[in-house]
Amino acid sequence: MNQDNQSNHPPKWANKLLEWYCREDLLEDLQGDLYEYYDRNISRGRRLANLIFVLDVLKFFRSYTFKKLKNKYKMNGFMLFNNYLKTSIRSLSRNKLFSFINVIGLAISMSVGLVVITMIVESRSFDDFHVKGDQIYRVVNTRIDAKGEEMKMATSSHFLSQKLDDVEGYGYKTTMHRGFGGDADTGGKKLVINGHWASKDFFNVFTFPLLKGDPKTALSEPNSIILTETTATKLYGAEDPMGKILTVDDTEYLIRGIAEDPPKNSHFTFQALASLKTLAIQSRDNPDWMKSTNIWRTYIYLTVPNSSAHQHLSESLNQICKTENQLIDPLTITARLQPLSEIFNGSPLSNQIGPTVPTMAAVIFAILPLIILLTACFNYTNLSIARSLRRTTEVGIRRVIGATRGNIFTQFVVESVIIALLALVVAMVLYLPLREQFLIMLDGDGLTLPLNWTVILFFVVFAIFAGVIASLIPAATLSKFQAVTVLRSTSNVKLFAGMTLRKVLLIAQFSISTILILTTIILNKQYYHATSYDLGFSTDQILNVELQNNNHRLVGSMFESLPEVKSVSRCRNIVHSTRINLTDGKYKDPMDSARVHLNFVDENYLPNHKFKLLSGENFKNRPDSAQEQYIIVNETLLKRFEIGDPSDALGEKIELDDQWLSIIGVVKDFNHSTLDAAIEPYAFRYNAAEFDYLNVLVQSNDYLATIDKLEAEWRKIDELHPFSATFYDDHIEQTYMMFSMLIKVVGFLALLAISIAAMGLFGMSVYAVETKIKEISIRKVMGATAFKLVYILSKGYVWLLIIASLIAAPLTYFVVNEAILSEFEYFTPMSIWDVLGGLVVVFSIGLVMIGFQTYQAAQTNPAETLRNE
Amino acid sequence: MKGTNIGEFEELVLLTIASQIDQAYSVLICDELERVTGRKVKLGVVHAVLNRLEEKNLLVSRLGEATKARGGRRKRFFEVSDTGKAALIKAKEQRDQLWSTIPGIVFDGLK
Repeated sequence: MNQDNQSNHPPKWANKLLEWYCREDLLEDLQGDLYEYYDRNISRGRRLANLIFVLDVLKFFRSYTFKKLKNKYKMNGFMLFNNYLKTSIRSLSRNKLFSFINVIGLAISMSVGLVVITMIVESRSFDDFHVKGDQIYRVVNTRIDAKGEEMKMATSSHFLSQKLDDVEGYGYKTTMHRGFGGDADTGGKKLVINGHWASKDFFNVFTFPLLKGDPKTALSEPNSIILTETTATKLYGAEDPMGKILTVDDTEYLIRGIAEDPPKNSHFTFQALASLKTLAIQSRDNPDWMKSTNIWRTYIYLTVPNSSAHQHLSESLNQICKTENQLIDPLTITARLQPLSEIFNGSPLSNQIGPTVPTMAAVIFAILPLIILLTACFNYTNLSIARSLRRTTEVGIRRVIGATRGNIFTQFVVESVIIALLALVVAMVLYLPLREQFLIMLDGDGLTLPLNWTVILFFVVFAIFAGVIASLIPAATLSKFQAVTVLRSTSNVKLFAGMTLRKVLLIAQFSISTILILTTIILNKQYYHATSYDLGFSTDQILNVELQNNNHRLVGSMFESLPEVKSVSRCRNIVHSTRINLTDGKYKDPMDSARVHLNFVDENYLPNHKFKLLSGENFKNRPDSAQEQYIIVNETLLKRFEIGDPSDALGEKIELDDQWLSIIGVVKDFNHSTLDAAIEPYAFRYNAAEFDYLNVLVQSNDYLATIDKLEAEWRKIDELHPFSATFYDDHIEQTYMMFSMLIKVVGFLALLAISIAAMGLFGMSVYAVETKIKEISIRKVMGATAFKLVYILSKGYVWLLIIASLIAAPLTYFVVNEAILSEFEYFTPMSIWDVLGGLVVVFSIGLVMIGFQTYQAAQTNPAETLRNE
Repeated sequence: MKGTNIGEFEELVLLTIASQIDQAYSVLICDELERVTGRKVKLGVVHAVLNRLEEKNLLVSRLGEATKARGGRRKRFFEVSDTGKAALIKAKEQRDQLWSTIPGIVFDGLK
């Protein structure tokens, strides 16, 4: 029994367990006993001995062998929590200014954070309703042209879809085509509807429940249509629309299904779906339809059941593209699979089927409010440390009574979390109007920002997180105090160890505010620069009217009959807006193709907009049916194809969309795109079939009345479509919508940051003055003037402001100038006056905050403060 | 008093400890009890009883010297305290008194 057997040991974990639960005074001999039995049992086999040992350890898990919990406070944590709560509430109500500044500061910054949380929660929930959601993939394409320019697109080609029919190993495939819709006519009622073309397996891939109709066959025949519930009710009321004929833009469709309205958190929505076969039959004679380069409007979705199928499919896609790329050289088009979950939040792609929020945008949008929240947390940290002098006695007494460092720490964290939760309540009040504003700003970006319990839960977690972050540093400082040191004399406390930290935090706050303010100023300047930029043509008094498929001659002549209308021109695209038309153009070298912007205009267009013709002549009026022959191009196109001077170019032929057109005029370069893009080759063509807009040049003293008159004319022709007219200048402002939104957001955040920083500074100066009130009084008795006192008291803060601006100004310069403005081809540089203007704002706010307090202190009667000694 | 009344198993344990003078520790007590009573005695049961008796102040314990055996852990040696001794004597007296009142005729056949 006593044999010394080193090689045999009972299982370690069981031993550990015993040591963990067993009381120390019982542990040693109990463990010894078990070892003794173990040694005895070892002769019966190691495994059995181990088993008995383990069982014994478990059997000794009894009430009398448990460790008494070491720290008695841990036993009554809830009681202590009550105490924390009570003392915290008392201390907060005692220091009203402190609590007010912190609650309001945190609330302001949190309200923005709440909007972001709502947005993130909602965008994470996108497309989560599809049963096969984790199996759905979209085929997306990347197109690289001869110049190496890369375009990443959400779209594919019908060619690729057809090739995929021969590939096996995936579940279902549906091909969709954008742009179904038009004027729906039931024979009695008319309505404009929008939707997509979709192939037969649409409902096998996606989960959009059908209320009526068979999902397997509803889209399998040509000229079939599926309406959503809402659309069906609008068109047919209470009648059953199934099996009825609906005419959409002169094509007849059989209604073969009624779908539930698509959920709001779907990355694409529709009012109607038409069978893709309809479009395929209509496009039979279109040579582009099956071309592999026609990758602009088609979407392919697949279900891929597992990773091996995914790999097989990816390889097949690569193979198809590789073979095809040899035929379409110098273009390269590659395809890959994009999971459904990365469609709404993912890398940015063009030609999306619906609105998306790219990950980058979401991240940036989440970081900015976090920075603002941080500045509010700095306020808490600063003010807590500043007033901790008063709380040293409290901490000392607590420690004498027996509180551990942990207890003190927890107490201050609880206090801060209470502030944060109070702030959350205030933030909720601010959040509601903010959310409304935000929704207006996001208009049509697919987000509805619903407020549900998940979101509220995140809010509370967020508030607690903010509270804990804010309290970490003060709680650590205060809990470090030793009872003896603080109780003997408060002057021994090394409070000013925190002074550097406070300065750093203040500087950080003001740097952030300054950066945001400067950014706003610069962006604002850019915006005005962009909207009032000399584009190279005139937009004055031009009203753009959407034709909406009405006859341009008819509408044009109706408008021209009004005395206020000077002239009417026609075009396909509004120049300098987001809608553009691109095509590949060729000159003499068949291998050299270049991207050319296209617009279709009539003979009045160039004079109406005062384009400058450098050589040649304008288009001449011609019948709609005549063969197209001529183009007018810009200077850049001449440079691109090395045609030479404008006068040499006349008569030269350019190939656009398989037609050779000869140049009859050259216009001076103008900004056809937004100012972030360079001027590219541009060509005007004359083709009446393509006109979408009328440009009405009006001259009137009362523009509103003129618009009303135009609308009255419009009503005579078209009762279905609402009259849609925008002044050209407003159109340009809409083009820079994103820009003005950015200004609003950054400006708003700057406002928040500066008010939070100002409140913090205000609080700090209040405490500084309070602690120095005797010094001030004595100085005053000695004969210091009020001005001198203000100078002495605010000197330190002014230095902080100066350091903050020295950090902020160059930083803004580099970030804004290098990162943002360099994206613009045509921008105004940031000037020293912009910077100075911003700094003046920050300084005056800062000085008012400090000056007000110190001036008041300097005005007090020294007798008042000194007699209480 | 509650403390002075002891149960049957407790009495056995106390007696075993007393019989071992100052060498009684848990494993040895188990072995002795098994030898005397002939029934299987579990360490867990003995341990709990020892703990209870010590709480009642019927036992005192001390830790012995560390040896290489038992994984280097010391033994806890038990001795019967004065209260324990008194309890044992009291229990014995009660029994003796009862025995003395039993007429010899009752056990005639068995002796």
